[in-house]
Amino acid sequence: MNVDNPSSLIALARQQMLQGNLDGAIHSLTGALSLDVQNVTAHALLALCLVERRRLAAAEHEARAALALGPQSAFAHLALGKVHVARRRLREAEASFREAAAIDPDSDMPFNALGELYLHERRMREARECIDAAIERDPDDTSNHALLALWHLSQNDLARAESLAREVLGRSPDDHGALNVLGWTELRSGRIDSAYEHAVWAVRNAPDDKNALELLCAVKARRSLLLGLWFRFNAFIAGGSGTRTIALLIGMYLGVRLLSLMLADFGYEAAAQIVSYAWIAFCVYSWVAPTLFQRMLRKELEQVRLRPDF
Amino acid sequence: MATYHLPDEPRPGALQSAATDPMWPFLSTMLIGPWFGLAWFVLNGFALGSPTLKREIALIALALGGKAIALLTMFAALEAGWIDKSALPYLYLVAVAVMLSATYGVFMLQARTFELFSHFGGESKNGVVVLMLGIAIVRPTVSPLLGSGLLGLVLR
Repeated sequence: MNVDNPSSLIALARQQMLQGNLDGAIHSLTGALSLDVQNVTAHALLALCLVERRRLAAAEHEARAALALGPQSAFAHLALGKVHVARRRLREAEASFREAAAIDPDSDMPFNALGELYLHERRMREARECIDAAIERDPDDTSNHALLALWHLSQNDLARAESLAREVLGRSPDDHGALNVLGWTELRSGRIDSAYEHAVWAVRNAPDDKNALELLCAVKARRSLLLGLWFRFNAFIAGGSGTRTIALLIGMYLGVRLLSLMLADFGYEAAAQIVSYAWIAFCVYSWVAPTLFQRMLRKELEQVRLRPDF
Repeated sequence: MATYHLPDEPRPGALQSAATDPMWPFLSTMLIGPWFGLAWFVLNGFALGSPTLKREIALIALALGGKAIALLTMFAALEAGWIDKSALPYLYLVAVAVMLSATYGVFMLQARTFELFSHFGGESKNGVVVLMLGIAIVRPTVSPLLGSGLLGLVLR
């Protein structure tokens, strides 16, 4: 591959993104931008990679750079929309996706993004319209069908969701959207072992995917209440933004201190001491738990081997 | 050919060899004192070449200033007779919350930079020795010098 050519590097980055090699794609794209800093596609693709890596400040910078260089680029609007979604600015995201759809009405991507957004907001009718529009524009893109499967799952139409998800996986076995849907339909149908296999496979494909982890927690909870709670608690603490984690931990600390002070004021000195010691134990645990959780998760992922009929 | 740099990537400078996991300055803020931990955060920000250094310093100023304002308000309310002395430990929690939130903010910013610093092959020092020496020697030596006035309450 000719690395002196931005187009070749961008093509390489696209391949790397498809293979899930985000670090490689970021490297290729920064290489492309070193050669041509005005390249709109490279900036927009880089923004998408950075969103996946949760480097949101850099992602927003890149998406805005793409948009500044190409205000009429549908892909740049799409990239900025994805950044808005990651930052939970859903109205701005909707506006960006709508703008992308208006600029390039033949592309399925803005409609797929809008469908996903509306599904997240439980605006089912609008979600279905956008998913149908995406499929109409690109019937071969499996991610559009996986989204339709998710829509059916949200409508509790388990049979239709499952058959669509299986169809997608038949064509694209690593599609994590379809793996999630299949896992949930199997869990809801009481096929726990099968749900577990799909959950682990989904987490293995996309270790940072919140939905996949949620599915794994739900399967664990069905198998063992205590273990399920432990998994859920860890996912709860680790999930979300940094600000949320700060608010959560400080809120917990203040709650404990307040309880301890009040107990001491009401004359329950021993209880106040117990609360303080319990908090210290939790602090120690919170240093150790993420490592334990990750190790346990890794063990789970290593244990699973796909059945030959998968 | 100029290399394209992403805005969140660290650009370590001359102090690179002093870079450490921000967990150590964070722990030292709690175990040695804010004066020590926050100064270490600033040094570490320079060592990591943190692109968010200005925000980190602003948050450190907020931590110190916010705690000072919370304490001053508390004492003024006590002087004016609006609150009882028994309410002080409860209100002190507000000052602690301000300091903790801002310090956590600095930690989160630096943790992100540190992750990228390590990702790009940066070597970091283990801060446990500094932390232990700080707890055993620096804290007992320096803390009494800070006095029991507003400055001492904020920095200790």
